Amino acid sequence: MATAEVRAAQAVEPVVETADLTRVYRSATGETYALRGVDLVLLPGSLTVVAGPSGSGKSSLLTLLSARERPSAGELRVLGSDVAGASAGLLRRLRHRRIGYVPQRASTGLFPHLTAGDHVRQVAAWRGDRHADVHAVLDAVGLAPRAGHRPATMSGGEQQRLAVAMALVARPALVVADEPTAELDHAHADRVLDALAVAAEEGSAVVLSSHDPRVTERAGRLLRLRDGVLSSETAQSQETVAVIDSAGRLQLPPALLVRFPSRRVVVEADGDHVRLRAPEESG
Amino acid sequence: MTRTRGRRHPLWTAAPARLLHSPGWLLLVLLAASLLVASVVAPALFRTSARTAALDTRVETAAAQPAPGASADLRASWSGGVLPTPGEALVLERLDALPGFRPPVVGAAGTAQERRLRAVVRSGATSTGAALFTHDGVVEALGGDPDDSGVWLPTEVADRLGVEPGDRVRVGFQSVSAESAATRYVGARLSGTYDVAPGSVLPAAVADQPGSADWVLPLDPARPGSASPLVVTGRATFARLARAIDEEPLYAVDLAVDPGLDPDLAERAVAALQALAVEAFDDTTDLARFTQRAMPVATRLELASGLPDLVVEARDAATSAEQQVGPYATAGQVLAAALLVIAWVLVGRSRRREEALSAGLGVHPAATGALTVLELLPVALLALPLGTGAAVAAIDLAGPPADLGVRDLTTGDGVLALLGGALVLALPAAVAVLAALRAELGGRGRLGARVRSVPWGLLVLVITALVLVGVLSTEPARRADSPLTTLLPLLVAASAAAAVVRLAPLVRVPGARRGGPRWLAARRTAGGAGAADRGQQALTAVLAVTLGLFAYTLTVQRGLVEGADDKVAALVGAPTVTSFEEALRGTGRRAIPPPVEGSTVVWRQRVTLPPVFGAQQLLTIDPATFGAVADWGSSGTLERARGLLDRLEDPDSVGVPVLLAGDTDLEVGARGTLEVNEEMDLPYVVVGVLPAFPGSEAGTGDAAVVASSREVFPLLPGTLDPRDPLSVDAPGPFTAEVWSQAPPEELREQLGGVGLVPDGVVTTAGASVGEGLLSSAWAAQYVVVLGLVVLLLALATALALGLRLADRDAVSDVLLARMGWHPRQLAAARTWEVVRAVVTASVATAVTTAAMVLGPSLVDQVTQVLPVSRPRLGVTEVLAVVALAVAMVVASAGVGLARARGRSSAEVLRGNG
Repeated sequence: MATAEVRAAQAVEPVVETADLTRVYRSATGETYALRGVDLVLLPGSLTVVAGPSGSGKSSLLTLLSARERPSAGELRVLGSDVAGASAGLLRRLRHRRIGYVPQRASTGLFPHLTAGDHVRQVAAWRGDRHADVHAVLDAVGLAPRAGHRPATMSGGEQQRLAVAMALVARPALVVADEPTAELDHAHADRVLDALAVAAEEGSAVVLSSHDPRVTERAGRLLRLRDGVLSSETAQSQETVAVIDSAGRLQLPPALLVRFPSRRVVVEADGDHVRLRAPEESG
Repeated sequence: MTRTRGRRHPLWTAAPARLLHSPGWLLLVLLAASLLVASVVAPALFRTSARTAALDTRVETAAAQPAPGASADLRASWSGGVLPTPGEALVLERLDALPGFRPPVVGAAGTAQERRLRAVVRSGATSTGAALFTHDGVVEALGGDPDDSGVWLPTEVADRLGVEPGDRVRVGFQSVSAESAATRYVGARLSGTYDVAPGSVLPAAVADQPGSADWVLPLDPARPGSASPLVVTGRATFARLARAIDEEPLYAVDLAVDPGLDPDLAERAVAALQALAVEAFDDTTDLARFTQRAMPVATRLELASGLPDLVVEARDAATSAEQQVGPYATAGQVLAAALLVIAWVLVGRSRRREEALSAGLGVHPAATGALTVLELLPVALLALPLGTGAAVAAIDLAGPPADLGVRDLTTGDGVLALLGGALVLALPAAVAVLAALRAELGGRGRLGARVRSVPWGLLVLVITALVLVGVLSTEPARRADSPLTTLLPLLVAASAAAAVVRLAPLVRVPGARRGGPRWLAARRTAGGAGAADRGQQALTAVLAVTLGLFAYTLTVQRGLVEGADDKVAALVGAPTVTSFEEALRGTGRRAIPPPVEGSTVVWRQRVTLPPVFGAQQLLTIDPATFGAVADWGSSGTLERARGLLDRLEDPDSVGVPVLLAGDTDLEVGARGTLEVNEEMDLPYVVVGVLPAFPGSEAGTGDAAVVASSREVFPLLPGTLDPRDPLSVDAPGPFTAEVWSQAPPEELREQLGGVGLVPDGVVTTAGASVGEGLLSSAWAAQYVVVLGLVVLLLALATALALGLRLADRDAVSDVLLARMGWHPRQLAAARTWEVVRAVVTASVATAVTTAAMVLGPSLVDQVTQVLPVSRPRLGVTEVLAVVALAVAMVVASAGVGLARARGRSSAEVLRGNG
């Protein structure tokens, strides 16, 4: 079964591929590494959640995946295009037509003079969907009754859901949502997650970040980031695997890390297994 | 399932009405857009206004000139013969068709100008000298019919001849020679008699009509310089009688200039005049043929009008005004554009998240620019009439004194307004595109890349120094036109701002109570770091630059107005100056008193003042009467000389005490010898050195010598002493001028009353047109408008500062309020920060103003006349700057308070505030 899944995956063109993805932010006082060597493949129809503590690099990763920024180093291919080397126009076209993006605190990123319906209708027009059912899209996030309202007359949660609706309209190939349920109550958060799941079922590659356990529970694939490094990956089989990056580095979860107070480890190969143990104390 | 129907591209269709959702921004942008349109249209309107005003002023001042043909009126004349009837009709028809003039008024008189020719009127055996005369309207004024075939005689002449109305008289023309005397007579009925006006030969009924002094009158051969009694007739009767006696009359057709003359009409009038003048001497034309058939002597139509010269002078004055205003007009356009750009940057700041959304959605920067164009289209459409109207109003109120109205707008002005409208769309669109590109590009964060910060302060200082060197190395006469000169005030203001803003944090104001608003303000100011602090510093610097430029415009305006007054005073000397070549001479070695009350006599001569070679002005004045009559300008520069007049008369002085006015290396106490008229030496001692003196006429590198006539004349030989009547025949005599505060007409009348007819009249108004000084005053008014633009720019910057501080403090204000701070205290703390910023800007302004006022003058565009015009500071200017600084504080604090009050703390903490 596992082999069949792998074969199927290989037959489908990945939506996102990264290799040793690195993002550095510069400032007058120095450089900050937000991402270090992230390797990742996202396939169509997948619902991937990126989790991790604040400052672990979730937003940086999602910003890169949505082709809004270019990597500092490493490779990033989105929808077949090399983001590092692609022209600004190509990246703009990707964002314009094929990538739906929900920014963090999306409620402030709306057009104040357009109604909710106008927002969705405009994005549908940009994505070339002449027959988009605006009502259905808004209804999917529980906003159909608010179609004629402008952002100023909507609550923060409603604005957040409107941003999600805009990202989902016209079924983009890639949907990137940065903490889309952060400002929502349980009921509306579930509704938004349902809508994102439907998008994944319909073939979009959906990737979102969140701290919320209710969100991570629904992930088809859960990636954990720590200090800019992809530390572990949990598939729907509930088997959590640690991630070894392309340079051979492995990040242990904190619970295991305490077993190695000297930060030294002896690696032993034993048949199909690789064993890690603390080195014996000398003297 | 229902489908929500609506527009397919709502972002585009909603764009034109978008600014209506934020009325504050709409007002700011509309104001900036209107100013930009106004700044683009205004120079052309200024040109129109300057042309009109220069022409009006020149026409008005020329009317005071005694010389015929100097005024704008036209006199067409022919002498020696009467034209055939169709010829006269053709001449009058052609004259009547001239544009820019009122209908012709015909006058004619017999021309018995020589002793061998004498016009007489006879009855029986009694005859007396009297010449034919006609002028439109005179017969009617005497109660007669212009078509009457009779004549009107002065009552005195009729009595002498013993005739009464209804009797027959004979009008004759005597030709006398050594051998014979021939007289031709023609009979005419005496239609009436008239009383003559006192001191005139004209009928009393018409003598007080405007312009009657300029009517052609027949000279009396027996009394040169006076007119012969008049045999008044209608025009047709005059022609019939003149033909009958072979009179050689002088016809003069007067056409007053149209009071509504504008520059275009004047140009057309001049062209038509010149064409008619050419036609009059072209024998292939009917006009020339008819005048050649005049009897008894063939004649030519001659045209005399000062209008062509006046039009050229007015054009020159307008061009000069345009050149002088050029730098200010350009500065106004740049500042108005800057105001619009700043306004749109502020709008963009309020939409930063939206920009990020657009970039995330892949909206093309060009589309963002197009959306901006759509959004601003209604603003531009509104700004076109508003800006054009504002330009018309501003030029009408503050520009040259021409009655400018919307009706004076030309197609060219319309095109310029459209260009302004295009800029209203293009500049914000460019700002929006740049912002979109920046949002789209984001930080790339290449590994190993270094962050380099630009040392703006140092850069501005270096550029200022370079431009200053460039300006100082430019010839003073060309300095004011140099683009570097236009740039320098801005750079000086920027340098002062950079330096003061840099030093301001070092100043600590003690006395703030711990936990009070001032303490909080000080903590916030001291605790600022990074980009936010730099942004605030930049805004403070912009405040300083705008406040400095505002102060500069005020000082320039005052400097130009007062400088123009000073230059006019130095050029002319008094409101009205009449000159006499020979008429004003003494009768012996006695002082010549002022001929009329309220006047003074000034004598001019050329002298050489070693070691300077070449002739310089020597003004010999009467110190006792000079001070009260002379024009002392308005800046006080010339006024200094007033207190030195007493020094010109020192009986114990060895040498003539003189004042030197202009550029000279000599100092007070210097002694030497003046060479007067290259024929005698005059010892002098310098008792005062001044930048200028009323009537000194000194230019750059030149100096005039002022002395008392009581000291100079006794030392002169009789051939040079104007008090000696024989000095008239000497080569290079002193020329005399009578200066007065009275208007030219009044002075001429007063002088006429004592038998003096001036050879020339100069007024301050006329001189100021000729030398471009009037233009200088107009340029000063343009600077006022420029100052208003800067003022708005300053207020807009203050608003931006207020908004920035309020946004910066949004979260901390909520937290402090929950810690017990009262909102009033928080607002007061922010106001203290604004006060600190404005005080910093004021200090920089003081530095800028001191540098510009005390440094070399950059604003003098009429360097050929001293004294030099320079920016001047007065109490009004200081009060205006202080008022603006207070307004900036109020505006900045007010908008910050409004922004803070409009927030809910929950929204702020959630990040939406």
